[in-house]
Amino acid sequence: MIIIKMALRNLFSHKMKTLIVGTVLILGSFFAVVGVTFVFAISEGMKNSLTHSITGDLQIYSKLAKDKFSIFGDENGSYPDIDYVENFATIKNILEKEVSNIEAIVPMGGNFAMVNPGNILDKKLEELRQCFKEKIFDAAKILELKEHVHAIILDIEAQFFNNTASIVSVSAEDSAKVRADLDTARAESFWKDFDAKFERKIEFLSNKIAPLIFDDNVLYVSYMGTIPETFARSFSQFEIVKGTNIPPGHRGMVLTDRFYEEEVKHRVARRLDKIKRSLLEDHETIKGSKTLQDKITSNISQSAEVYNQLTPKRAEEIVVKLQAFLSSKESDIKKLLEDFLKVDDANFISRYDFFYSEIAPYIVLYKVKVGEVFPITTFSKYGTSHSLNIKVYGTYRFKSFERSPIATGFNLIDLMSFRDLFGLLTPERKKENSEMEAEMALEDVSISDMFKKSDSKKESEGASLSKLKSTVFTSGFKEDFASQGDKVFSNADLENGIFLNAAILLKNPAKMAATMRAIDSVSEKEKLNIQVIDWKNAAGIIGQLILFIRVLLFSFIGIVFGVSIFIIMNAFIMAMLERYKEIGTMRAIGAQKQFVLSMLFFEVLIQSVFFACLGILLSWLVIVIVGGRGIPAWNDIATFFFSGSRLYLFFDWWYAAGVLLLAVIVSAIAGLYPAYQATKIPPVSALGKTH
Amino acid sequence: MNHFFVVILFLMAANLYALTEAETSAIIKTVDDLQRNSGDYTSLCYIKDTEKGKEPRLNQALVYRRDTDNKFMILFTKPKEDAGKGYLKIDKNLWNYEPSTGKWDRKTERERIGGTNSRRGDFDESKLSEEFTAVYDGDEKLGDYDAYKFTLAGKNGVDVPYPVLKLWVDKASKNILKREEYSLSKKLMRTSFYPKWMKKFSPSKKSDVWIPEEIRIFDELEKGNTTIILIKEVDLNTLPENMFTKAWVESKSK
Amino acid sequence: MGIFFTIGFRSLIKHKTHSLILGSAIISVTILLIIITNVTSGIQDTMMKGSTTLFSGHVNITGFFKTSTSSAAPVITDLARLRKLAREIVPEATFIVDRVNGFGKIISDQSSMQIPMMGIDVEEEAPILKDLSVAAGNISDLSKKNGLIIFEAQAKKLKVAVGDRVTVSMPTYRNMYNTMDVNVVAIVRDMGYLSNFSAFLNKDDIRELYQMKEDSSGRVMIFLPNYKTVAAVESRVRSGIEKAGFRLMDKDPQPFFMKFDKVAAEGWTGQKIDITNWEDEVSIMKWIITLFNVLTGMLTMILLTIVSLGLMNMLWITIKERTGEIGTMRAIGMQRRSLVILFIIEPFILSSLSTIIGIVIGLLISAGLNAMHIIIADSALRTFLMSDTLLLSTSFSQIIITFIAITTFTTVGAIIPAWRAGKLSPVIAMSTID
Repeated sequence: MIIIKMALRNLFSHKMKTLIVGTVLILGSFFAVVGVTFVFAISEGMKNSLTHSITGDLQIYSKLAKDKFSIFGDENGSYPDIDYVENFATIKNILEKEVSNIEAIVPMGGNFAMVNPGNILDKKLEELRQCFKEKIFDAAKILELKEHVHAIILDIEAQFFNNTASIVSVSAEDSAKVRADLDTARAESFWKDFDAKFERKIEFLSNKIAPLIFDDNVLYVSYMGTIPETFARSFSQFEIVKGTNIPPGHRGMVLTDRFYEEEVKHRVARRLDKIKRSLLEDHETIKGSKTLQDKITSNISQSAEVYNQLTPKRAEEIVVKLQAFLSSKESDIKKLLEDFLKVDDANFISRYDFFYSEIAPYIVLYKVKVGEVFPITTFSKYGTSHSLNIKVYGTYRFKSFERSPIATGFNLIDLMSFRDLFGLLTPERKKENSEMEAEMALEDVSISDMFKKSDSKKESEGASLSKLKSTVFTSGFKEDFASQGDKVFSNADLENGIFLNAAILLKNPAKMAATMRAIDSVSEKEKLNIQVIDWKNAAGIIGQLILFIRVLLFSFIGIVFGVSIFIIMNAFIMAMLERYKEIGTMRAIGAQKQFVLSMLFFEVLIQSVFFACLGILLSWLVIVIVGGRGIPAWNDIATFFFSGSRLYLFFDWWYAAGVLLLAVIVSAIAGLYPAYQATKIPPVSALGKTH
Repeated sequence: MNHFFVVILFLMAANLYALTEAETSAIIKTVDDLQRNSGDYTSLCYIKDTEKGKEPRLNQALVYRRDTDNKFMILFTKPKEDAGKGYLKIDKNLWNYEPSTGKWDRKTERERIGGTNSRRGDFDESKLSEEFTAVYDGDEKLGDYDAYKFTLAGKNGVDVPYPVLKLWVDKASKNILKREEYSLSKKLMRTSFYPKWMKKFSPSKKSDVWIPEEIRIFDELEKGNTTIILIKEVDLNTLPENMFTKAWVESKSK
Repeated sequence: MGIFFTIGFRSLIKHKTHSLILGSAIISVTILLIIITNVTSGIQDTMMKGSTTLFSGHVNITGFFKTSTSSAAPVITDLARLRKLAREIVPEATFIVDRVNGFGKIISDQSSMQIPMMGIDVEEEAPILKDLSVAAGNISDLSKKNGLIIFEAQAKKLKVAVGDRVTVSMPTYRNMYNTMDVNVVAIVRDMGYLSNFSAFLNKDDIRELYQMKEDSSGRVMIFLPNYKTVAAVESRVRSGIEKAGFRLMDKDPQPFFMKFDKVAAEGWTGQKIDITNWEDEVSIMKWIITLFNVLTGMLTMILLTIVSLGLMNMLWITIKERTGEIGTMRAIGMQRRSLVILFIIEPFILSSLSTIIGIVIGLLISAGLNAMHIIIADSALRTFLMSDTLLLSTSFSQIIITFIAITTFTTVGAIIPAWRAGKLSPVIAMSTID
């Protein structure tokens, strides 16, 4: 007890010194805890945003892959050539049976596609076509649409000859053709019998006039082919946002909600949504946020996207409504819209509601709508293309990663359609293949036998023309193509086919290395011809980025640690050295070595524990207050690192305890070693000069 | 001394059998002429493209030619997935039609027809004497056939997919037996074999037109990949006037 | 003042151990910071060099042409006039060239890739292109038609060598694909991440592919003798171009391909000019530099704080030990103020000397590392440092800042103990002398 009291008294009497050492301890332990918590949050966050959404814990793919696998594509932006694996069901059954740590195996395959949802003229022509097909003839609507189409044609004419011709060298031939087509489309005679010959007229406009609009409407969709229910079930954070998941046995797509809202949604509407979210969820103000102000400016400069999509009749109606809403006498829709889109904190909500109730229903709010069917085209390595008509069933997201750009990159498509688009042989194609093989009746001949003279004449007269004459050209091609989407297939079809790669989710991710070895040996044994990599390697450049950031941040922390330890040690050593005289005195008056050492020990202990705890407490405060609310990501890069719009920190008691222990040990070593030396010095010399 | 003379005599004798420049060009021209038709040409072809270790992909296509006008067209008929796709050569441009998008894309001589390892030149008129200068390389025996061996170099300013060729021409029939295609850097890209030829009498030409029944192409870059073109049936009757147009190809998939 | 320095100096030498320990701490921290800032500078330099060789000038006259209200092409028209204006507005420019922007597919016999490509005039650009390190072939062969220059990484993926033919395929204004067969005339060594997305075509060839008119191009690139003057030149160009009657876009510090979406939706048509600088064009990569700078800044602050504290502690103890000395000095008449100054100058001398030594050693190590041309093995690191070899470059201003920061910080730490030392009464102080 006395020892402790003395220790405390010593500490208090050298206040300044104690405080200085204490400050170093506080800072050191504070940074140790906060720093590592921060780094850990980032790297765990990035890891989870991958393993819980796309990569799983492990990825398997063909051993014969030509390129290294990377789920996001390789450095040049294209997908790597990883070959494919024959039968998913076989692989799945064997692996699940023989490797115990596997929770789920989800087949996948990534690719890019182009979707051309059609420009404004295409859309209006489609609406017009539908009107004519309806049982009830809505003359008013048809007239409205026709007027709009007419207006668009005039626009096209102006743009083509005034603008396009300035940068593009259009051949005289092409120019004349365009002129002729446009003249036809504008002619009175064209419109006079429109209703009677609507199919042909619409087709003419759609084939000849619509392509003249140079539009940036093409969507580049990156998608992943998988088994939709397996995917939804295996990734616990998966949830459907709009519509439904792809029903089992049907072809279809489910887009990521982020993609739907960011790229498919009308730009002006999208920005209004973002502003609303910032105001309501993130509690920002337009006045105080430059980002929001920029969004408003962009909206104003892009108001053309709104008024160009309104039919003339609708535009008139909206002018009236806007005049009332804004109390304005302006009659030009363009100016009214620009005024309307100049929102501020006071009027935002009411204008937002007005937009969605009065304007949004009449523009193309989504280039492709949930529930719609649209054509999707992919290009193979050598440029051959494959197309399919696909229905969008809904949108999905991963809870807690909804704002992360990594986790929202993959729109899902059913594996059957994926195989078609990838150019893999479907069962139908295989059937046709064998038919053609039979027709070909090709001899299997080796190179050495090719030029052997034999009985069969090498120079024949050729077969009769029976096949040629009977090759009925499938004019039903387009219908066939359209009906693909309705065919239902069985689960066996899905599973018993080709896949490119598969995600493996583990029951216990900590045993990753052992599981990987197990998979390798099973693959060897059963000749599965697959290879396995961990999520970090599977994430390609993103995985490497995560690694890089982790290394960078940990080195950073390490340096701070190292220097802190050095300074702490230095401080304690100095403090102890300075007290040689004091120690000598105590020994001279009869204190035992043991006693002195214990006293010093308690000093060091109390000092280190007290100040380290203070530091830890401070870090706890910071983590709970700042980290609890979340550190907001200030731009896209930050959003990527934070795996979302905010980075949350979590205080780890065990870790804090570790830091405390480390601080005590370091202090003890630093303080007690010289103390031990000090007690060895005979009291006499200690009482003498202090140097 | 004696040895020396024998060697000289031998060489002289060998030279006697060598081809002159004029003879070489004549043979190459014959190779072209045998395959040319002065009228129209329609054939039903099959293309079997096999990637190493994978199941083969087959296509059926109709190939149309009008050699006098340098017109050329391919229309895919099977499988259903590819039906309607087509290639059309207009002047020096090779256009490719995609029925699903309704678009025509311009391609070059190196285009892989239908994604296979075949090229337009494999289906179209043979123009070796126009596009290449030939050099005689000696004789060689190919199986049971005696063949002339030639090395051909693409002429300046002519666009060919393979600027250097080695050709084995059957001495008897003057048809191609084997063909090796090289890049400018002398890298061997493809080896093609023509084991079977057929002839058909052409009323407009008033003589026979020779058509390779089989062209077996071996990929030398990705060893193990092969493409086989099978020309099953040939019809030399006149085709309708407006056939070689974009509109005609488009109409086939409406 | 001089006497203080002398005294301070002598004192440091006398208390060798203390000086050495503290000195080495400061030296180590300084070396570390110098090396880190040199690496960051190196990255910045690589970025600038890379971007100005590959796709940007120091200042660019670029822009968009909208053929309709819903499209946007990265094209500028009236090229001759724009180049003339550039010459007039920036007479000090070392070069002015123009390039055509392109994006398309390169299809070889065994593979294909989609990357941005630039149409260049090889003869005009000879001085810029000399920064490219040629691995095979001849860059000047691009002046002939149907040529292509690619980087090693791309040659590897496409499995081509100089002399091989590939097909280039690009979407034209009607979304129709146009193709051309070209020969690989040269393969150039990689320039880190940036070169993964670059290739060069002959300007006339790319115009032909896009069916562009003679008078249009992608960007006019202006190169300055001193890249630090970019900001001033940029504003001159802005006002000059605007005065000449061209419509200008608002300044948006982003690479041009990030602006498509925005520009495509704007309601105007025709031509608008966009003036950018090299930093805008690489701004998506800037985050790396920002990250390094922020980390270095934080590291510096934290380390210096800790070192300062350590210094304070040591000084405290030193003063305690030298209480007798202090007493003596006061007794012989030294003023309080002088004492305080003395006890500030001592650490000041120590820290400035240590910092200078640290800087010198740091620079030597940097130069050494540079000379070794260390090849970065890890591809991730290579990507982010944007270079295949480790490059450190020294920024004079950075060194000055580092010096001032470290010295100031450490000296500030000495103030309190020094002040306390001054407060000591001579009598008590002297009594400790034995």
